[in-house]
Amino acid sequence: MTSAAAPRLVAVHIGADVLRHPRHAAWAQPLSCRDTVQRLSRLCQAAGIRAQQALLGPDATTGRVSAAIAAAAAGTGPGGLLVLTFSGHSERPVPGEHAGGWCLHDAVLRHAETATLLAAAPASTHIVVIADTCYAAACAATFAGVPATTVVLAACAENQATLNYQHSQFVHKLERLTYPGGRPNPDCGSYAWLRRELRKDTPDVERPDVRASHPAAMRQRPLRPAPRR
Amino acid sequence: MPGRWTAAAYTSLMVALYVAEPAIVNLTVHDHVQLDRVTGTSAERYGDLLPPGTTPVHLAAGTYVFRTTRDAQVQLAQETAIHVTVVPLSDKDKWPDPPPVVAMQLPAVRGDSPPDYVPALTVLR
Repeated sequence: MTSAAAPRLVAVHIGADVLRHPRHAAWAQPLSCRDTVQRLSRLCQAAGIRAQQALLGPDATTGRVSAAIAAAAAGTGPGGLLVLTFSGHSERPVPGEHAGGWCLHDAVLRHAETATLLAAAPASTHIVVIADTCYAAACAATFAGVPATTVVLAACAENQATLNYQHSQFVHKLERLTYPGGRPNPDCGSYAWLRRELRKDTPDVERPDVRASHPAAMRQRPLRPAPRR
Repeated sequence: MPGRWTAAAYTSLMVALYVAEPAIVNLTVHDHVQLDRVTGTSAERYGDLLPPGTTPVHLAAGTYVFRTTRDAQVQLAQETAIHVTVVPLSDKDKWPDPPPVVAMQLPAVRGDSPPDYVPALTVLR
């Protein structure tokens, strides 16, 4: 008798802190990317995700990032877990024109393009996107269109900005709530709980959010594959 | 789906306070506001969230910033050595000149767009 293969768990981390596009190059360099990627890699490791790829600075090009997301989406397989994290600058959605995007080393990767790449994942895959950037929750509406269930953990709402500090308060809090010291927090039993805790004691101008493409996903344990039916 | 979603307004006022010597300021805000003390390229939260209304805040010497979605008022006592200024969020390259004695750089945002609406700041002495 052969047992079913364990679901594949993969993570792609993007830290876009070196921007060469003329529109972005003059902006302040994002300061927290490296720290955020390090912390989220550690968090994923604690969640049992062994296959991880980080694209930082000049490596975070649209070509490399797109290829990494496409490979991860195609490689998760049925019942798998894909964690995609982004730290850096963002472009705000322009209604009627585009849904916003992440500023990478050479250009913007629009959320619609990312959604197309994520669509390669089987419908039974659970996709978690951690957006540590301005207008962070904006991607949730676009990613809700992919076949797999998506959950976006956003540093702020789509109409809010985050400040460019050395460390991300959102990521620190996320780490503390999910895997403090690398160990699972037994209280963190669902995305709904995580959302409540992330939003506690935060200012109205910058409030984290958790958005799922399906309401049932909010009852899932964070950073775990979808339960098998 | 792209195009189906309509963005809500992005409203934000960012205020910097350069405090030369310890003082008490009365901050009047209309939402829940976090006051940060800027330390180099980082910041640490200064005290609890400020609730809507007027709150007297004790400030040690240093640079502080707060952001709010609504109009704000800063009331200073006469002769207080505090410089208060609005920090533009619309242009990442242009920052207000700090007082000559302060070399602290203020934080920028990590997005590309100016707010749709910048609430007003009133400074009273």
